[in-house]
Amino acid sequence: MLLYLRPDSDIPLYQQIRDQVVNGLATGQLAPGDPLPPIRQLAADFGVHFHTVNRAYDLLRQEGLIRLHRRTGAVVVCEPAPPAFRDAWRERARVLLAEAFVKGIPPEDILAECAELLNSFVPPAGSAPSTGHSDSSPSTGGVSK
Amino acid sequence: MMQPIALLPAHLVSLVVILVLVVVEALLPAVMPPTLPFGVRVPRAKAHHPAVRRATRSFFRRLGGIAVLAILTDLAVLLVPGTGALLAGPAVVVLTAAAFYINYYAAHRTIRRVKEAEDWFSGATQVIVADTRPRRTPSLAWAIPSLAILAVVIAIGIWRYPVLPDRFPTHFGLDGTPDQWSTKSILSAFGILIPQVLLFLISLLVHISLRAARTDVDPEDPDTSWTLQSLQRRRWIRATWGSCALAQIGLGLAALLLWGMLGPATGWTVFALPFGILIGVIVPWLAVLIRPGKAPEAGYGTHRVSASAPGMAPAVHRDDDDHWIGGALYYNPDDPAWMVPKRFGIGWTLNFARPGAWLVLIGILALAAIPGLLAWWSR
Repeated sequence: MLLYLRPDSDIPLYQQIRDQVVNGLATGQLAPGDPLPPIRQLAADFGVHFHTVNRAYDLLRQEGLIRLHRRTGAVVVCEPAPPAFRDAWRERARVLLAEAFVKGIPPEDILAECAELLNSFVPPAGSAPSTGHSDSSPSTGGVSK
Repeated sequence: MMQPIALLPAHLVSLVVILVLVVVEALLPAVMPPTLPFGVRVPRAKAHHPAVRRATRSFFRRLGGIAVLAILTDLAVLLVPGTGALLAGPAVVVLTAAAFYINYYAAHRTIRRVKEAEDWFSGATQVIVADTRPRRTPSLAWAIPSLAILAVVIAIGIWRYPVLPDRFPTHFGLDGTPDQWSTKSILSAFGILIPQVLLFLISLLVHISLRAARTDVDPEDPDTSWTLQSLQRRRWIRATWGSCALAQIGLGLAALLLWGMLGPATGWTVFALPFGILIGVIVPWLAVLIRPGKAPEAGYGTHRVSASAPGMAPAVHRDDDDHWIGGALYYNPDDPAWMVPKRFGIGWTLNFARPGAWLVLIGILALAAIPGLLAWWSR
């Protein structure tokens, strides 16, 4: 999978890395078991400070999305969500939806955008498709390359 | 008169070096990536801009002029009498190399000025791209042949040392007759192994550095750039160990010669050995450079589309000219990478903001200086 960093963006670099890994997992570009480069390697490839990548990997580890190994880098996993996850996510979703609503985007459009985005996601291998899918696309689990 | 005849080989060497430099400089523009004309980062859309084409034409015109001037100067220096002429050959080579660099920098500067004046990066999103795919690098097992040869030579030396005569010849004239002797000591007998050990250590350092070297992915052609660089990295590491092993054989034979195990030195061995070492060092690299990495065939992986969000301006490689001093030297203290792809040409160069890079450079210069130092010290 290709990771893109936008140095001119307002979003911190570690956040960009973390967001893209999450996105990659959702769209099937990354699957559980896929390797991620060691922190130093990725930092060298990006030309950014070691701590930037370290922070991104740390975030992902806390979220249960990767497991760090000493030398060989990291491995993508998909640990089940802790009980508090649903509520915390709901709070973040509330803010996101409020942003669109406040700017006058009609609720139907907001929902349509959400549905479209969800349809572009691919369920990770070995897990049941989430109930949010309107048309259940067949699980293509394991296809990442 | 002795002198002009003795100088002829030295001038032949400098002439050959100049010709090699000319050929290399003439070929380099052909291997420039389209997004990196003469070391200037440009979006792919501007790769064939008239300014780039003009700069290329001027580069070749000036190259021709410098080449002619350099060859004529080198031949003219042959007529200079006296010992100054011995240094004149290398001096012409150095001046030619400097002229070639100025030629490159002139082209670099021209393109850069136009790029800044016309703001070629406006309207594009500048990104840095990295690939999460694991990279396959040759294992350290490639070091084993060189290490084995080194160990064997050391073992032979240790075995031979008691039998060495108290005074043994350490330097030979061109016809094989010894003209310098040393008294037997650990240093005089084993000093000849220092270049071998250094060479092994430097090859090891190159291997380890290349393993961690940055892969500079071009967002406008991610697969090709990634695959080509991975291929080059593997080839370079293999070529380094190939050179090292062949050089170890040559240097080992020189050590055996010193220890009197190859029979009396003849003019042939004294001349053939250094020449053989040189050939051994160069051949693996010729194999690498003759096929500079053609574009991968279809089987290498489908061309992946850029993953930029829809509605985002096209993603281009970040404009990173600022970190390249003089368009050739990489200096970036914020970059943890030690080795990065060269700006002009095939290969890698050091990040001179890392203190370790200076150590590597000093190490390589020390290795190159050792034969000279030994010759001077054993005088």
